[in-house]
Amino acid sequence: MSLDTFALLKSLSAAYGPPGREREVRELFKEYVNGLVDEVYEDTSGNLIVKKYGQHKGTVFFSAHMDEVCFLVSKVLPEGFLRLEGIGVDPKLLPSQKVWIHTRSGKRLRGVIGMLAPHLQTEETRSKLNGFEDLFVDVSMSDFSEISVGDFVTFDNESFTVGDFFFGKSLDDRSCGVIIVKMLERLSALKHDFDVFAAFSSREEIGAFGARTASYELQPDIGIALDVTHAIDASPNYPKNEFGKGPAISVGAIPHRKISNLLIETAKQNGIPYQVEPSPSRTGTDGDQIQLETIATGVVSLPLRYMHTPYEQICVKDIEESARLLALFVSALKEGVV
Amino acid sequence: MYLKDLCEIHGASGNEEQVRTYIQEQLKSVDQPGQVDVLGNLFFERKGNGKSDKTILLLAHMDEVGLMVTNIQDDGLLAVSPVGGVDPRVLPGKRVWVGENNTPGVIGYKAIHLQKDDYKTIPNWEKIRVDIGVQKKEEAQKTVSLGDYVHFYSAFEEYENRYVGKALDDRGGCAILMALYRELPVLDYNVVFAFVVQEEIGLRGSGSTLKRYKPDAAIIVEGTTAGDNPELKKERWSTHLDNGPAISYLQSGYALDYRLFEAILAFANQKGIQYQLKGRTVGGTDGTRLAGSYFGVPCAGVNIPSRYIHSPVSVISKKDFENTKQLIADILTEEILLKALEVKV
Amino acid sequence: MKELIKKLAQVSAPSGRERKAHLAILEELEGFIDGHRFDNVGNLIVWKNGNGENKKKIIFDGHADEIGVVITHIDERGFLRIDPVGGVNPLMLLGVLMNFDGITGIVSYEAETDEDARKSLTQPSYDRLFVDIGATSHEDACKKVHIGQFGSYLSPFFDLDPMLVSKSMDDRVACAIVVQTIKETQHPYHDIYGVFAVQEEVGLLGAKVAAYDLHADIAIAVDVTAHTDTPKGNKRMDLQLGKGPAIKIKDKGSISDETIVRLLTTCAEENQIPFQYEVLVFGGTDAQGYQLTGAGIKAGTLSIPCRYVHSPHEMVHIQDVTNAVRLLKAVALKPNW
Repeated sequence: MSLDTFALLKSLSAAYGPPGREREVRELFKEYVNGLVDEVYEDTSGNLIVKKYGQHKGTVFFSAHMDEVCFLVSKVLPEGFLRLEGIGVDPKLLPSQKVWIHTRSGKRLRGVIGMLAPHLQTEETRSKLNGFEDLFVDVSMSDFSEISVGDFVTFDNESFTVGDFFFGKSLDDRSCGVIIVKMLERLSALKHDFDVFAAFSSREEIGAFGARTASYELQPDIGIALDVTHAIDASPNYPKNEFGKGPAISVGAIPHRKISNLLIETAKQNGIPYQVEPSPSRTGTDGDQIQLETIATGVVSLPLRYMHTPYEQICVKDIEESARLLALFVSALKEGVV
Repeated sequence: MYLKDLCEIHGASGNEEQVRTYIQEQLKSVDQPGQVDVLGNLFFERKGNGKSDKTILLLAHMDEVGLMVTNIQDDGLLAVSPVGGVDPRVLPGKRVWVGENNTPGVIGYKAIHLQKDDYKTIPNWEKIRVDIGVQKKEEAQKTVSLGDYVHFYSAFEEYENRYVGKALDDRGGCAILMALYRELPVLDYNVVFAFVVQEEIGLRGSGSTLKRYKPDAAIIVEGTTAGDNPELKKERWSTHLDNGPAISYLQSGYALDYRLFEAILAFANQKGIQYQLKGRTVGGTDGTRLAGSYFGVPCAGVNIPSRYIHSPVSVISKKDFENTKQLIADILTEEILLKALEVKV
Repeated sequence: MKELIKKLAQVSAPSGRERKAHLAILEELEGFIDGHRFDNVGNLIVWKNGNGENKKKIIFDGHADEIGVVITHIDERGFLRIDPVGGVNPLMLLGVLMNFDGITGIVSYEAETDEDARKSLTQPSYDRLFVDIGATSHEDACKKVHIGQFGSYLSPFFDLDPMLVSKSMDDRVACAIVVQTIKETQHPYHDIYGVFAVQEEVGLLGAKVAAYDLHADIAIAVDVTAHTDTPKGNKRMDLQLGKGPAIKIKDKGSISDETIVRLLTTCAEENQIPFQYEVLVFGGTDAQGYQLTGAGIKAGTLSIPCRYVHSPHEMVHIQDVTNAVRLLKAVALKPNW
């Protein structure tokens, strides 16, 4: 029974999961891999580790992070206002945002980030760049006595679809978690020599802590980081990744040449669309940490627009193609490939 | 003479294969073929005579800074991005080699006649383009691909007391390790010679050494920066050519091991060996990685002063090169590091 | 407790030269621990065995190093050039006394022209600073100090009850807290490891390796944190001296593990120990090193709000310190969590 990709995305996008507090997301992924793997457990770092055994000829490891960009309450002001600290978010996104404050007791409270109406603005304030120093959250509509410093705050969590496109928060990187689930579904019907491990990893957004410790513990032969990349003109110095053209395969310094080549070969041989993403230095993904454990690393990325905003955009077809590529890649792995 | 060959070989971070092949070919023997790990690090072990079970690690990195083709324009020009710390200002008007085919290219620059306001703006990565002599993207794609490495064109030159070449950071260190591997006798303890990858993009290869070996101490041999030129005041030079091997005490992320530092200085002073102390503490080396990974390894830094590192044209002193090699050899044969570690706090 | 803090804080031991601090700590702990060792990079690790049936292994960490400077050059007239050891804002050093193993120096700046002077005072740079040790010549200076010599602030301890002021409250107040906790916990339930880590200030180096062989279940780093309770204090954070030790939720280095936050909160509430929660918009602690050790250790930070961090005179509230000791004791004795 195949899980509907759109349904997976909707639940995962709405779920609460800041770095280091990914429980809700972990529970969802645990549910989704049920029946697809031989072992499931949570490790010390908060990663959800899954294992699907092959013929023990080697191990290949996939990592996609569960945590989302978000905020914390850094100060509680009188009369129902809060100050925020951000994790990975551009403060320019915040005026007029609706947010959720998650209290210690497990409640979810509404807040809004207000902005002075145009009528009350002055010449000076109109051209001011908003930063965390001057932005505040209005929680007067909620029982704000429950809120304390350190409570996590997330974007409002509704999502929507338009044709093949899905819009919502936290697609960075839960959409890649979906790729892992879809890949595991396909692997149920494929033979594979290699054992397949995966980490739905924790705390990537603050330094890929989960990927590093999982790599240390599992010591796979091959480690593939799955993350999102910009599907929009990022710079004149780089090619543009496009929707509907399949996953972007990183080539360069950190991705191991044999792994990049194998991924590209697999795509070519099976008529799977793919794009090439040159990578001269750090990839900014779990891959950077995986490699440090002396592991042949690959990085495969899902094109995405408006990264780290409440409405990130992805093309669902790219998820399907990525899952197909990775499943075929896994089934083609032979002992001693690296 | 290893240094000339090493400097002329192309090996930017992530592309060290040719450097590794060269070193392995030069050093290998029937019973010591050299070990290569999955990241491409190369190790040679010189086991001791059994009197001690201790291990000292000597480490140098094989990679140099360079460029990578990150976009191929419709007009056939290549956009590039830096691999490691490359100042774009060293690039205009230079020759380069592109990709595995060693396609010749040039980093042209807008003729001075045609510049207006941009005469006063410094080169940046949006302006730097490699020209391989084609007019269309399809032509370029016949010999070049996204992700291809671009290396500086720079012939090695030897003078009475100077070597000039690219990649002296850290092929100088590699050359010293190679020479020591050839020249050192079997000692009472084990020595591991590690030629590591990807130092320039984040000290990414050296940690892997600790998956294979448990060294008691390490000496990192770097081509370290020498700022001795008319534009920088003396107090901020860091090192000066011809003043001997440069010993470090503090660097980015790590204060080098106190015991090893003191012991090396005491030894050099006692024997009247010329050395200098680094005058700047910026910059990191693999010492930071080794001291801060897994079980930790105390490190010392004995370095070759090098001018203009991270550019196509670096300069070092022949005397410094020889003296750095000699100092390290003496430190090893006199067991300075191991004696230093025996001292109880 | 005040005497202990004074003793540890007044030792001069910048990153890489922690020996004096370690020796002072060991002196204080004599008779109270079951053993100690120094690891490969010089971390001091002490331990006290617990007697609980389901005992766990707990690390209490305080870093032994302080920020400082290192001598990089001695000029022809005997003036010294310096580079920072750890995050020392050069503006913080203007006119300040430094201590190089007993040699005193005054930090001053270049001022060839008025413009130059203005620049030195407003645009921080080590290029424009020098240290005057009162040497009469280059040779005279070389007899007293040498290149590669580390130095720290020279600044006394003051008891301004209830406030305490000294250099290096960061992080000797934490070392004192860990020492006092061990002293006062004669029979811990859990195995306690006191880690007095090295080189936190240059990059959390010690904490990245200290726990490698310890197989600890949790680690609590104790460190100072900032303050917001002075005139026009930071408007975005909320940290007050005297309100209790701070249970850190997040800084720029790590997010405290949920287990640690819950454990500290529970122990504080059960024992009526005042506390506050902390979100710091900069900085990092040894907790990050422990979270990244091997397969990962659940780690977090307990902070002591501190004014004027990284200046020669850091101020803490004595009750925050004694309450931190009470809190860590409670953790050492709490049987099940």
